[in-house]
Amino acid sequence: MLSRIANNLFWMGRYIERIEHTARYTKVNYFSAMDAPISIQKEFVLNSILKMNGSSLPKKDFNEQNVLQLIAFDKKNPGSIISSVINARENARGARDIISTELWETINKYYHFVLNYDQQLYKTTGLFDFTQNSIEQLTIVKGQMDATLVHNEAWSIIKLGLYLERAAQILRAIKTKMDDIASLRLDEKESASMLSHQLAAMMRGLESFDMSRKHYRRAPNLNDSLEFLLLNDRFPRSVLSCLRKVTEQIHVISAAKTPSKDSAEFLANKKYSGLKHLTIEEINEDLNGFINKTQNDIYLIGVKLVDEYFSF
Amino acid sequence: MKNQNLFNSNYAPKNGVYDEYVGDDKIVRLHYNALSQQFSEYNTQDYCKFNEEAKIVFFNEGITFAVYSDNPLGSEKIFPFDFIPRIIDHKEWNKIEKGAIQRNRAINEFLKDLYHDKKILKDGIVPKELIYSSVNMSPVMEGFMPKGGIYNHISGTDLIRHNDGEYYVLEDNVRCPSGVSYVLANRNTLKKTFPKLFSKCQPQPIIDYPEKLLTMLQSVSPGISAPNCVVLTPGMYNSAYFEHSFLAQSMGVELVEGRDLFVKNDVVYMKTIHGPERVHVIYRRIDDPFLDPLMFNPDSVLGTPGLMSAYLAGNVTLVNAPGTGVADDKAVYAYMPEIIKYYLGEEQILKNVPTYRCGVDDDFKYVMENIDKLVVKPVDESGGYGISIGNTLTKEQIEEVKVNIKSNRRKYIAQPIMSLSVHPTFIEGEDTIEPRHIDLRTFCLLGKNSEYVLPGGLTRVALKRGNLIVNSSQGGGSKDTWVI
Repeated sequence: MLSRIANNLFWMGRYIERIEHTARYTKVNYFSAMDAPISIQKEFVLNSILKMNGSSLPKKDFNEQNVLQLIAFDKKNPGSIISSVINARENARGARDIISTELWETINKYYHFVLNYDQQLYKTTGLFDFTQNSIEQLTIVKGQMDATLVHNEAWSIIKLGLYLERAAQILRAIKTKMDDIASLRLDEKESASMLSHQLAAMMRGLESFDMSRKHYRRAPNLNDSLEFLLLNDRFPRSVLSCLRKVTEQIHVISAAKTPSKDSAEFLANKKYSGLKHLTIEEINEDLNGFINKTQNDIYLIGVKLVDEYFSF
Repeated sequence: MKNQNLFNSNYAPKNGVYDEYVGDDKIVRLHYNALSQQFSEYNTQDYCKFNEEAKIVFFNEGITFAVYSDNPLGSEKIFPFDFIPRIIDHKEWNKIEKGAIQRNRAINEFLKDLYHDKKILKDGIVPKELIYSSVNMSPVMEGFMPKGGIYNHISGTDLIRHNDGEYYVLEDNVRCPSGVSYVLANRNTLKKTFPKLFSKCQPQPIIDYPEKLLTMLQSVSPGISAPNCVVLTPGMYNSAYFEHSFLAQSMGVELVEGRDLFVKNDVVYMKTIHGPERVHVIYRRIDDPFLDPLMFNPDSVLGTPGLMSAYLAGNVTLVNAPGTGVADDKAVYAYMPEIIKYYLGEEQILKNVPTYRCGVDDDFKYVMENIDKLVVKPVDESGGYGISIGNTLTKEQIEEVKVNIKSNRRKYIAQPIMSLSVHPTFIEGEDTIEPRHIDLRTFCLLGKNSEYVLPGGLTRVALKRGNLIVNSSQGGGSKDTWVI
């Protein structure tokens, strides 16, 4: 496969996954504020959404409509849904001859959905419809990815981008929520119910609320939630599971018997094995440091991949 | 007489032009009978529904073309599609098929001769000045013989039907003509709309075009059994990018850009995730001047440095060969009957439109006196640009055309205003069915010892009332074309 095309596919996977997380995080947090045990200010939620998206607004422009616009439809914001879908579709279009007609059509259809969405409606009453539709359409995109592509190098490269991005998004969501919780400065009485409310928002934002409850069979707590999102190898939205898949997909394209020490494959394997043998208690000793380090390693894997395979 | 009531009996053929659907006696032509019966079951709502459904299919599939503009977004347009198919009787088609092959074989011989012995010039059949003044004559091709002896592997001969009922060749396109992907997309869309009509009429299939194309590409490879063929595109902002990707995908070969290739020791490689991989045949959709910055336009970023020297060393085949443009020059067109006769010893099967060359004194004089009755075309433009149609011009515009011609006589030819035939066409917005002018682009493949013409081809239709220019860049649409 051409290196340029491989690069297209890799980023297509990343953008698709990124949009889904932006859409879900925005939806879940926006609406969760409405059933908070103590009233939290809109500003708190909007700030959380901005942080997750990695963007910011000057104080004078800070209001609900502007935040929602920035996240979804601002073409100048490289992390907005519209920027990502334009990029994802451009990447898909550039690799049009490699991917299946079915996959292309679902991406193209979603692209037109976003471009033609009534932005005024979205900012007033359409937020749920827009984000929910986005999530559903992207689920179809991923379904076509798995169902209609040959599971060869091209597929592996798309999945590689997708899982790497997902790992990065999970870490970012955890970090944002931990910051949110810390910023609430609650008294003891409020603390328990508010914490569980925020944890629920974090878990729902990563589609892991139901499954973690089922797994632990008790009311959600911080330890369980973090363990589930970071270390559960069988849950597809955990960092560990994403890293395992990253190592599997890199191996498909590298086919190396023993990857060299400074390769992307070596780094991914090392990171995965390390994480596999960590406990949540060890991580909790310095959660912040752990998240920063892992984010950095994931970034490095991405850089090395581009360097080794996607630029000739 | 029951056939008359088709299209709510509102269909009014135009006077003085050939209507593909009804004869002068207002009776539906025989080969349209099945369609006529089928359509008598539909009403305006059905037509609107067909039209909308087809549009959605094209939109979702991304079958679009880019209009050149500064804005990279929002500049994509659906190629307008008319759901009423154009039908060609197989007897008539056989003649078109033979004619297209004859013409393109002759062009191939002509090119071979021009780049080697130049007998046709020495024998005075085609004037030397005409060839040597052509910007499309490529000095680097001098004395070089492409693999399989083929220059114009893919040719798009444009035909019209005049009011005398005869087909005329309007243009020869031998520089990688586009449009074939729309033929296949149109067929695909229409199959879904009229399955019953298809089984009744059984139009000749076109679905195997990508296979024929790949076989042709492989037949001209520089001598190995499993050649690596690729499609070379200027990139996804090119107006025909959909077609490039479609062809690569349907042949199962890589779609490459110039920057994906490099040349080492006169061998072409593509840059893959596992290192260099050799390329044998390049179906290039990049114009000659942009192929290789070392040989042609040094500013080109679309091509690959060293590509031409690899080609001339015989290590890679370019399809079509560089330098074919000299043969589809509109001034050379005038000599096509003589060219066919000279090389093949045959009379032309498909007629030529009488052509006046402004470079010739007598012709120039005639053109200057009769601009209002002529179509004036620049010899080296495509896409319908620069054409003026005499009977639509104001006095000032006529003077302007005259000035243009005088400033560069070699650049212009003129032809009588041909009346393009018309075909029932659905008019969006007015929701009516009206006659509109059409032409036909045929696609002919020449390989090593093989030839093929795609049955039917691309029928382009001028959607604006009275418009004679059918190019997509000028608001034209297309129809599925059936040979039955």
